[in-house]
Amino acid sequence: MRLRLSLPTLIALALAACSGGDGKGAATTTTATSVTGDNGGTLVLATGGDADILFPPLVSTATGRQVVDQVYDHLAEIGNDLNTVGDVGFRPRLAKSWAWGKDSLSLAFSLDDRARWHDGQPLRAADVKFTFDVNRDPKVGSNIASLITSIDSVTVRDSLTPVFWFKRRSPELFYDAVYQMHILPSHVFAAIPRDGLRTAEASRKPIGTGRFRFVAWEPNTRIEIVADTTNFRGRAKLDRVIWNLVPDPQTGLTQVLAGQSDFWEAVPADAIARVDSSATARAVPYPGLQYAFLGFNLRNKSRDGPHPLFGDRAVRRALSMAVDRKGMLTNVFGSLGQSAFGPFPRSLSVADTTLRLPAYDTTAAKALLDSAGWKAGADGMRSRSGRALAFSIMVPNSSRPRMSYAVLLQEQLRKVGAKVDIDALQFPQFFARQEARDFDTILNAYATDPSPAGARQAWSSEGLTKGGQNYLSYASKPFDVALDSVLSALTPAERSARAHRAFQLLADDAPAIWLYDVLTVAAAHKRLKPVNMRADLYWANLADWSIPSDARIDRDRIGVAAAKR
Amino acid sequence: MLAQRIAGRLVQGAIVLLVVATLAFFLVHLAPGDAMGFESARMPPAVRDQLRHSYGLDRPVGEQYLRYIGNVARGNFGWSVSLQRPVSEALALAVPRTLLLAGLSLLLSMGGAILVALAQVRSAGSLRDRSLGGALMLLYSVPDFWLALVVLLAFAYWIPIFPAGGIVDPVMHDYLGTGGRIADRARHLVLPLLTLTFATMAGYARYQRAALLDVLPLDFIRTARAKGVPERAVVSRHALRNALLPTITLLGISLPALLGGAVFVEAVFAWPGMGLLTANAIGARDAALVTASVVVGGALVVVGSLLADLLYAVVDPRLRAR
Repeated sequence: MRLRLSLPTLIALALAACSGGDGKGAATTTTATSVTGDNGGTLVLATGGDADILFPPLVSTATGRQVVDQVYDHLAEIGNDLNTVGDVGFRPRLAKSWAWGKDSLSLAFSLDDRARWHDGQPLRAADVKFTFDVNRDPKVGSNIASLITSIDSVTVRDSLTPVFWFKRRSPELFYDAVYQMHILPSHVFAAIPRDGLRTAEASRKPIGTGRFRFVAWEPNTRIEIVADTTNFRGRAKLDRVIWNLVPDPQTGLTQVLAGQSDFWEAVPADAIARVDSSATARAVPYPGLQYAFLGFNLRNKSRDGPHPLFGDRAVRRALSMAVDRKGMLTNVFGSLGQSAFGPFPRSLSVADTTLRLPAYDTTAAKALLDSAGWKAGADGMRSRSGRALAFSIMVPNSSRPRMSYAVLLQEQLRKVGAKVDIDALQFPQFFARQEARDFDTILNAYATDPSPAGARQAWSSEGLTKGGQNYLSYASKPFDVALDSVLSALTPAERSARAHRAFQLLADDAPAIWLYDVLTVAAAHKRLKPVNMRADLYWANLADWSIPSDARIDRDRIGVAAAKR
Repeated sequence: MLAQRIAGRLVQGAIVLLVVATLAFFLVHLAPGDAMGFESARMPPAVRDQLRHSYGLDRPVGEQYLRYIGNVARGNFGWSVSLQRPVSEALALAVPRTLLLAGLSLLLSMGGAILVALAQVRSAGSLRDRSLGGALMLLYSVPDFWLALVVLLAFAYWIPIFPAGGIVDPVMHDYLGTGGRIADRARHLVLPLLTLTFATMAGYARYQRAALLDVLPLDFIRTARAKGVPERAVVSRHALRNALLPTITLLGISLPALLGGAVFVEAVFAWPGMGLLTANAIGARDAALVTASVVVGGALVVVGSLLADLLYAVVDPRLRAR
């Protein structure tokens, strides 16, 4: 549905908007134009869930993250290849340059003196120090506190030079310093008690330095940002972005197909053809950082010994060999699926598709189970010493691909004599039982960071401690050592070689059956030109998405002027 | 007498609300998981525990309950962990939207049901009566969610004459004049309103038809006919008024039931009302918000029953005299 711009009020507003931006801000490198030329247009993103908060250290929803990524900035931005070793590929953002200390344990950033907060205040080194202090303060409960532990402190050398001091040398110090933290305005947040930041009004009305400015958030309805026309990095190409809350996926997709919204981030596989044949929208595939697997719980229920089935490596390998990963992939994802090879998506810099995984061979799988003492009975089902080869697959019922995989796995494992039940749970229960390690096998999908360090928490002994995320209780000293060597490699090439060795150990041990890489397909309005959809955050370069002037529709011509409310 | 009955009803209502709040509170706390499980998978357990402490979730359930009831009695529904805002603020936004949708739907479905029932009984047993009965049965059998999706696809995609969800146009609404804004809001109301009306009208119409058929053979109707009152007036003026009592009873208990139906309609049409708010709160194990939503639902039952009582008195003079 489109509303026509024939109303006099609208025309007047649109004309008023043509006359320029909001007049705020200071230094500028780009002249703002709202309706003509390359800049302009309104992007309506239909989104399934509302934001929780718009304060970067505490944001945990996808929508909230999408908004803060536009409004706030990092000191430097990771490259599209997602390299995390050294500063290779990183591009200046709030910092125009940086210099390492002689001992490589300090890093001084030179802030861009043109950078201004959206309220006109200049960016200062004190803001960087404040940001670090806030993220490390336990009273705040920052989501990234555990990811910046390599940083000891941040000091202020002068008003434009914050200095990071590190606890130890590591190839990822630069990544640690710039990737996780959005720089916060100390003049906005400093007066608020740290334990009150979660409920502060300022945490819902962000003032950042990004190429978009925050305008409004109507809970459960919409969030609006507009181009910061005087931004020191140049204004965003789009005039305006609106997150339009649409809880039902079918409705979200229908809105894009009807031209009411411009973007829906995840089209179900069975609807891709409908999108592609639409006159309004097109399918846009983009990479992600998710991988899915069937994980075996390696400890028993009382956690005092190995799991009676999966404690045996031969059983895990046999079950891995019993499933046709390629067939399942085609069945669930058609031509859009990608097989997983280990605890990494293909878009990660250490991804390795040459690893030797247990090959699909049901005859060999049966022989391996026979040799491990699991004999088939008259009904074909296996048992050993009176114990049946029976277990359950725990899966969240909200995930359609994983529910499909659960059924396919159940059937394929039945063919080698394993009795499998499907334990489909609502996500809160799924999460609670995962935390309690209360499952036989778990059909899970992990989203990683660009750094392979994420694998440490999920797959190494480090994640076995209370609160750790090694839910399968996989413990292997050789793997731990090999993974540590990956993280200490000083060049990308060396890192890849070491990653091959580490992940081959994991493939041989088979603590999980690696199932698929998540390649997502979005539905986008045909007039929209999304660019540089990065695997970690497809919206990272939203300020460079555009709508050509000759393709614009009514809502693109509003300009950046705010509506009277 | 009437004032006394209303006062009695209000006292009963307060007791009902206390019971409802108690049940809701304990049922939510019995469910596995809590709101802190959703904050972030990365969040260290110490921080998670600290948050539980700051929200009082680590206190004994009995203590939490007493504090909660005390706060509710003072009009404070607490803090929504999932929305990061006071529960009362969330309710203040959602309740009017749902009341608008559910209230209009109730009026339309009741009005429609009465008209359909009148059309049926005027020629009871005829082809028209049977056809309308069959159509109502079909509507009654269709799942709400499916009906909502079909209406959405039909009128927002195949024949795109109405918007596919939302309460207003997310971009243009703020730039419209007063008339334009009202028209925009009305256009967005049409599909969810039609869906909810169709989904509930069939049941009311069947009740109303049965009640009319019970009344039509009675002596006073025969007397009216003998006096020469036209058949149309006999049915609509004499029979209908007496046959309205069961429908009014339904009206009293329908408002909360409509809220239940509105969960599906609100989800499909992105109508950010109570149904959606409650469903999301349950998914997020947001105990304060779930309990408050249930209490609001309970309050609507109480108010609905009270309204039904008042309407009885309006429709039936004998009840006014008692």
